[in-house]
Amino acid sequence: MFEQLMQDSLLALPILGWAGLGILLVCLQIFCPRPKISLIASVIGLVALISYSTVNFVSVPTAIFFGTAVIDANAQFFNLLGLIIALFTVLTMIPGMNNEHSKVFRLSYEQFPEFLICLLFSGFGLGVLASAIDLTSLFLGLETLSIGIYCLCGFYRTEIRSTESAFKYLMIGAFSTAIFLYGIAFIYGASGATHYSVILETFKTGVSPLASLGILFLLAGFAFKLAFVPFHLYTADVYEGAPTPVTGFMATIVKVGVIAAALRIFWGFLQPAFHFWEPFWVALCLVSILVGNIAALQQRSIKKLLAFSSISHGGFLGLGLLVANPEGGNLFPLAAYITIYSAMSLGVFALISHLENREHIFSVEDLRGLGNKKFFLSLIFALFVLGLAGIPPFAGFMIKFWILQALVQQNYMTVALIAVVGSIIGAAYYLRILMLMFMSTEEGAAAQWPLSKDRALSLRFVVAVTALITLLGGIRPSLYADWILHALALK
Amino acid sequence: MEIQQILFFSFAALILLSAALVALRPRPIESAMWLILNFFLTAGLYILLGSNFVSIIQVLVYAGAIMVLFVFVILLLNLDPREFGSEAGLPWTSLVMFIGFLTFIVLSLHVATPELMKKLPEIKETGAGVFGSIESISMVLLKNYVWGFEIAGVILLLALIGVGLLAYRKPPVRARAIHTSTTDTMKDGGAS
Amino acid sequence: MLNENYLLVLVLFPFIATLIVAFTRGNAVSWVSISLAAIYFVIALLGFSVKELHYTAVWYAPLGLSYGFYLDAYSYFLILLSAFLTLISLYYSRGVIHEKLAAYHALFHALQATVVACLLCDDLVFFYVFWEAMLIPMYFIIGIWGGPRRIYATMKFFLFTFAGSLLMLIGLIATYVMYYKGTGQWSSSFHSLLEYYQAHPLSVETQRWIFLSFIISFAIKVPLFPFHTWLPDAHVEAPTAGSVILAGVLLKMGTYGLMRFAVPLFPEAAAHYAMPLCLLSVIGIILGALVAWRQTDIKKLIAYSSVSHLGFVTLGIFMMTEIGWNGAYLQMINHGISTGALFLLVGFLYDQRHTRDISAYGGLAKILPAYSVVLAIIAFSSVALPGTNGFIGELLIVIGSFQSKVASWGWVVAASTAAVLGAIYMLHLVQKICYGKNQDPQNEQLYDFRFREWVIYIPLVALVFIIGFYPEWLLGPVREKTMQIFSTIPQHLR
Repeated sequence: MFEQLMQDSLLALPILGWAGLGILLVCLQIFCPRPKISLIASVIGLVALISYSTVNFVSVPTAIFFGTAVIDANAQFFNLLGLIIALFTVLTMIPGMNNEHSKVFRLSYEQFPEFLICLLFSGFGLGVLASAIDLTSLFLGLETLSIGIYCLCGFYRTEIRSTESAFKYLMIGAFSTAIFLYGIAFIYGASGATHYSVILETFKTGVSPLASLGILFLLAGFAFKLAFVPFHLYTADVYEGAPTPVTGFMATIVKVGVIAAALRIFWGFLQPAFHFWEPFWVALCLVSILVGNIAALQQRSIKKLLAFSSISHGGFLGLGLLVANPEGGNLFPLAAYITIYSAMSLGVFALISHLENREHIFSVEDLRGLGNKKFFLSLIFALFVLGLAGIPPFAGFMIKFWILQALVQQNYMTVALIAVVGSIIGAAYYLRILMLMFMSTEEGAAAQWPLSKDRALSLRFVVAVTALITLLGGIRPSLYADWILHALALK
Repeated sequence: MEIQQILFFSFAALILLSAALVALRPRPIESAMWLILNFFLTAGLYILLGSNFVSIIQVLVYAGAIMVLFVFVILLLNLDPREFGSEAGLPWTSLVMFIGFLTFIVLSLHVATPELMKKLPEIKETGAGVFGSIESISMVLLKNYVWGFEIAGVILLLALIGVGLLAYRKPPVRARAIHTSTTDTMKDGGAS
Repeated sequence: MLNENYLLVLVLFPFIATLIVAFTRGNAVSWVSISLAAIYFVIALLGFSVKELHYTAVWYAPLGLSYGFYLDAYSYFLILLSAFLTLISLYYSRGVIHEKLAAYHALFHALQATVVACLLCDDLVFFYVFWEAMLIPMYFIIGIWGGPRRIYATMKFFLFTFAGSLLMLIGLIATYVMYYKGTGQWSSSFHSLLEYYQAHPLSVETQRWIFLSFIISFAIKVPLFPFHTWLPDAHVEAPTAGSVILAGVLLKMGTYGLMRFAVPLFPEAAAHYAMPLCLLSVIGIILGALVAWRQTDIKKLIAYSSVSHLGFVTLGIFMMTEIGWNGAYLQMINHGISTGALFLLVGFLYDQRHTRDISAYGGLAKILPAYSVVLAIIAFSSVALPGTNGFIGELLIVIGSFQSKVASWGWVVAASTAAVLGAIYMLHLVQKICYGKNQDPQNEQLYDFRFREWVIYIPLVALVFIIGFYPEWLLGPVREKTMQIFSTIPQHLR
């Protein structure tokens, strides 16, 4: 048994590596507690894990740890995506290390190693989620991911918004976990097993009312995490208060994790009950797209605006899940959407963390006239905004297009139409940002806040990579599509 | 109705009531007490399900360790009792608590008696193949669900570090003056 | 003589020009930009004798995506028009625009790049991409260098057109998904779709709703009544060169889309909806003319005249006859020339007096004789006086509608009456500006045409008369192309 465990651990190295790196950092705190050392160690570790994961691609799906986890293409792809997201988040957080930049960061500077440890462990939760084929791993992975992020949100302890964000997310997250667990318990009760394949066999013979209720609670739990309407009320305050790189982390990695887990469930043991849960899920997605965009029209704070925009993107992701039928080979739209969406979100939040002044709430009006003062920065900001809005010819359009194509192909015409109406509504607030930046002669606050004096090479790297993907990803999908198709073993 | 159903419904009703009271009562110590009652009653539910090991662990860990920690923290907070208003309803809460604890103790005592055992699920003694016994639980936990077990450990580590991240405060200056090494303050605070 | 790579050059040159202009510093930007536009115009002229060119390439093999460019008479003359108008308007902007020159010129080249790519696209998906991408440079042009209400105008323009386009997206996706369901292969190339739909027409209901979704987008762009409300604001608030390109080129994309994609793919649906669309066109013609008559802002008057003229074009299209289509296409080119010239003429006055109010002028024939002559000629072209280009276009449309099977000639009678209204507002404009009493002594200080104005207006006036007296060079290739398209449409519909 021990050899079996060793073998499994070796296969699961990209996932265990997160936890190993975290424990390494914990041990490092005993000998060498300086934040810079921890930072270097975590960056090197993440890069090593990314390279290892890219080079060692396990092509045969292997169940490990006695069938509670599986290493297949999906698991490796989403884990790799999570690794890249974590690396970019760490790189975005680096400029704060130079004490001149952020007064708030300076107060929490010594806690930075703990920050990195929490980040790595929550990434471990993502790895567990991506590889979970058992209800226990599913729940534990989701919990690990969430708890880490609760801690990360409250990193700026002296700032009340950050504490508010952590507290709100903790409360709502705990509540949603309880509901999720309730659903898991019912499904276990109805099927008598925790392993997905066994549950599938049970459900094939019939889905009892108990199981249906469990499925609903499970969907509700997923909807909480994906911030679907009407479970989205925490999103605005949580995204607003958290440190901006953490907001980028939250907005992307939680969605990656939930998508990875839900993919296995929806097209796994929930497939026999498809006609039961499909109307609920479609309704949730469409309402999220519509309400997310309509609510964003009213927002004055830019992080809240992006929070609502991410709610509507979550709706599109949910629709992508709907059409990700493995038999139909339609996994590509979903994977492309989550990749490009993560890139754009990380980029835009990196830019905001560069521009912002945490003593004030970053209002959209503050962007007024930024195009006159800092033209190149505004141009990149405009690029991300146009990408998030889904305006051709940037990558943000292609991903929406592929999902709409998949929807039409599977005869969800009305759904596609409503999704499109939501996007139309969404264009207005994105355009307002562009308008304020370029078409205004006055100068808002953002043009006057001093940017950090340091080189911020890491942040420029993140912004450059994500901007390039957004700019060229529409015209040249081979930039990312090759990797996605190869990693998901779709070709 | 059988004795099982009577016990289940009374436990369930009391569990819901005590959980609601945890949130509704003004004094933290009282909320903690209600939570302790909740855990005891949940342990009673476990006995009804036939898993005696889990029920005792529930009492030991939740009520015995976690709630003790909670009570310590509440006591350390040094709250002003005048902030909480009157002590109305205290006799009634004490009565309900007494009934709850009494029920649990009666149940546990009766587990040992043969008459009731016929009406409860078969609780055999120990053994690896027996449902609810220590051997079977540990076999499953450390073999089939070892992955989940380890992840639970990681969660606890994460929670510990997260609490350190959120709640750690440097000791005040005058306490630090006592120590000899004042250059490296991180050594004092970070690792402990 | 010219092979498919010519298409690549046509498409890529404006993109490269955008980058070159964007990185040029200082005052040399204007000349660099104008020379690049001139070079591009010459390149476009080279393709004059080309009948048909097709270029296909693989875009992304693993997903089976490919793209193609296709040059024929319809796209060629619009490209030529776009190159010509861009050159003229950039030359006009040289002394007029003073701030953010590099961005201004780069945006115009970007606009031309997306327009040309849209015109040349043979692939539905790429057509859509560039259709929407056209909006971005125009959004910035109006928003940064426009008039006082530019933010409102440009937001309205963008959101209105964007909404229509997204609704078209669903129909577009459905079009080639149906193809996939029928053949098992993915292709969004227009030619393969056309062949397939001729052989296996879709069910009537499906055709109709897909056609409707296409129509929404094109109707907003054209603009067809009642989707025209964005046009007056956008035209008035845009800078002069922006208005020229907007009216001269962008509006034509809507009618081009109708003629190239919507009607050939779904002729049954087009015939079914021909009557209501003709009605909307006629209402547009009459309404545009009447509202234009009442305007006091000259630019708004010209904007409503655009609505009126393009009503004629859509009327010609939906009459579903070959002659009508030839006339409609010719009117598209004519409208580009005459309305472009009109906007430039208004800009000429505005640059000097900074007012567009019609009552601020008067009696300019004595002070600016050259200007008045050119204004009169362009106005006659707009009114469709025989001898000018507008006459040929309207004549062909009227003849075509007499032959039409889908709509009765009563429509045409109504529309021809509206042509009289067109004469009313246009001649009213000319009279108010050029003749009568001078309303403002400041007008005495106005200077007449200098060298640059002659450079701009001589070609325009020449084109008016050349097309008016000898339209064959334009109509010949167009006629052949129309015959080719109509051969694919079933006999009973036309």
